[in-house]
Amino acid sequence: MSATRGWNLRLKAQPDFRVDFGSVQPTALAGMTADEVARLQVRHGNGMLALGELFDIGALRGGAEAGAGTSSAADSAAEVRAEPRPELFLEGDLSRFDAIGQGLDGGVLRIAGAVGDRLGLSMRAGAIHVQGTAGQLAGCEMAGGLIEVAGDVGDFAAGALPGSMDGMRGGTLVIRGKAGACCADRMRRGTVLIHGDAGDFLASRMVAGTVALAGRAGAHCGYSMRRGTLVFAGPAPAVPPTFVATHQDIVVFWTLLRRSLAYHGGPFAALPARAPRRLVGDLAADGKGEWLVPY
Amino acid sequence: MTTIRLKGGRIVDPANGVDGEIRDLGIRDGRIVALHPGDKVDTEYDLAGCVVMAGGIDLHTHIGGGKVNLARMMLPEDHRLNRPRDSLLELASNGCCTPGTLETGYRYAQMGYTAAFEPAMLAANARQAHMEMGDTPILDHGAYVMLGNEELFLEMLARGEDPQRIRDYVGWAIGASKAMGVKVVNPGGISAFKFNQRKLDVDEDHVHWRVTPRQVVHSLARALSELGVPHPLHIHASNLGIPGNIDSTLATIDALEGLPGHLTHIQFHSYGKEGPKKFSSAARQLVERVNAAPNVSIDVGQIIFGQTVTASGDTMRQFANADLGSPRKYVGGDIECDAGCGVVPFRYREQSYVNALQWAIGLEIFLLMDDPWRVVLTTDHPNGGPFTSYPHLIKLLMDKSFRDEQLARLHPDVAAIADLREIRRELSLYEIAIMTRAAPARLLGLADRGQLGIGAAADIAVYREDADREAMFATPEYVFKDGRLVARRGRIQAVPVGGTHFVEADYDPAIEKTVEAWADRHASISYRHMKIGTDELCSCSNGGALLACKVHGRGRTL
Repeated sequence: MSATRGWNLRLKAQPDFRVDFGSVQPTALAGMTADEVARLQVRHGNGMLALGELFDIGALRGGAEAGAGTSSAADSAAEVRAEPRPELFLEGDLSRFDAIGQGLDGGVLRIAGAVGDRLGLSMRAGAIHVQGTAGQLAGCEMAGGLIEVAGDVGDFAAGALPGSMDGMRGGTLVIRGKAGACCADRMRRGTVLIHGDAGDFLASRMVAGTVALAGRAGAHCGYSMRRGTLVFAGPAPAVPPTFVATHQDIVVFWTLLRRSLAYHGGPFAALPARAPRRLVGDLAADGKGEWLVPY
Repeated sequence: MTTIRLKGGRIVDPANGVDGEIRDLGIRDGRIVALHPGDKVDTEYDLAGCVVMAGGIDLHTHIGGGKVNLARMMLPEDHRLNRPRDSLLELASNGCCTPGTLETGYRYAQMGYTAAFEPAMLAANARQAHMEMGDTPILDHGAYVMLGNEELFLEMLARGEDPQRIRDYVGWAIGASKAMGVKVVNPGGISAFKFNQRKLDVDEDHVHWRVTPRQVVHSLARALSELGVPHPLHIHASNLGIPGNIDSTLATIDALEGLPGHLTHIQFHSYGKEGPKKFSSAARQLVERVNAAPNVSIDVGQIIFGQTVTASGDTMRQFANADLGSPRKYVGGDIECDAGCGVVPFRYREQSYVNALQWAIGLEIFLLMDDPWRVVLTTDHPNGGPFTSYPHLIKLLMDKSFRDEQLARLHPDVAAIADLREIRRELSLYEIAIMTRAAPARLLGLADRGQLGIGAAADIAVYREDADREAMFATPEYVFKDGRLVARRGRIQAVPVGGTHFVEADYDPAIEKTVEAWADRHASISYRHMKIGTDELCSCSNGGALLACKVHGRGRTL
């Protein structure tokens, strides 16, 4: 395939102020010429700046040249499809770039470097792969698609914007590093996998969905959790007094859940076949949330 | 000394009986002056093809105080869309149905409004309300203090206290809170709610104090009349939003016994219970009664379809409406036993029979009233819809075919039966100028505002003539505030600090002993702190002009 299937943006120098990257979408850019892409305006501090001033812009040719790094099984499956998805490959330290992939509705974003806050805010479809770290509110209120971050993420990942009723409501967020505080706060659907440790208030006020944690949880895990599932794949957590064991038979459910988590590899590939202990809580809230804790 | 000439505009100034006369207007030092053609001027604006009116005055819009802040917090999504700044003078502020203070000022000024009045200021929250309004740029402002549900007043009424003592108490409350008038919300009902009553009719007893809304309304109207406060008692009547509430609305008018009264957001109080859904328009009944009662004025509280938030002091009714919230949130509360508050986000839908009929009822009231001097154009911002929809509302009133188009999109039962179909009237620019400027100025007793006579304040809105009245009223060509150009084609040009209107009423200070004794026993703050002094008002209102209206009604007994 000779036409561009996307663009390669290489950061020239660090911008003076924070940049709001929410308006840059791979699907929209795929139909543009290099000139049009260079002229695209993004918010920079209180003013506007053209993409061409921030980045060297080149076309991505067919094939998977940019696919280096972090492809997961889900993404590889997508790439073997006949029609390649529109793609955007960003290179450089983008930790001053906020709202990358905001409202993403298709296509692929790959970032070789760190990103700023609000990565994939409210995204509905498509995939985002970050090779570095992400700032606060990563995957916040996302409703579909996949986000994969190789490094750590800041606070409120998969959470809700201040004042919102619901956090993440669909899709998959994979964090290969550590997660900050209040991860999956008010989450109501979808899956979050944390390979490293999680900060305080993991799954606080959670309404539904699945969170799987391979590392250690911080203080107040499951605080005010109403429903939803928290899987501890690594060390067993300290159980707070508002969570109690139920001794229900969850063999069938565990078989299914284990298989769906194993698909994401890493520490989740080898979850024990024996069903874990099931605890419910937070009894101070609705008390229908569940913790699956290894024996 | 700055002199400005506005050249060749079409003047619409109902307060002085001017309808469409083409002539020049002079401004010097913030006032309108007579200029001879030969006089030297600093700036001249060519207004050929433009209509010149006084700056708009909104006498009922919730722009400051506790419940407005609750509404802002309940709709964070209303503040997230960053509207690009039109002008470098504008600081970041957002929101549509719950705009921030800055956004409120910018948006009103862009529409040609130069004054706005907060109708529901709790005495206990007066500082907060004045500070928020002081933070609202450009607009002059003022507020009505909410009385009629606070313990001290009800206690005095229940004791059968001498009406002169009640008059003095009302005078004290106006002075202490630096108010422009008095509003009563669901008379006695907010207090009754705390005693577990869920409804209170005009002649029903408050279970604890054994007083009726009729007594509350009458004694407050009488007190204001004796004090000589220009704005009549601002009445949010009983039974808001209940089908068949037209009976209690008419009973409230009767309770005034000929004393001046202003019935606010009357659309929410003009419902019958006929028809298959037991919900119908009582606009004709209402208008018939109001036309025959020259002591009564109204503002409409038109609803506008879309997302908004209802913020009211009427805890009793808002509690009942809490389940209708969209998004499903609700805050209700008592405030210092002074009054209450209830905030429910709401989305008015075209396909809802009830909402569609509410929309039609509001327009029917506008169009059926004989005397435009007693109707004020409001949406009860944000309760019926945000104030930014005024240009749309003006078009609905001025354009029958546009109105029919909108009506056809509504719930089919309403579109088929509404009285509104039969009403052919289209309001003129002159009538719109009355409802948006001249009438509110007269009802508030603002002698030098809402008009373009010699000596009046140079609050002026200049609209470019356009057959599309919505476009015309949305972006005036020029807006002047006290002679200063503040907006040009929707772009903010200057952000002066607005002034505060308040009434200084004369009352017998002996009443302060009663208030003090009550405050010592029951209030959570010291009596000494209940009163806002003039210096404090000045700092609360951001150093804006203090536009005191002195009234001397004392001794005038009815």
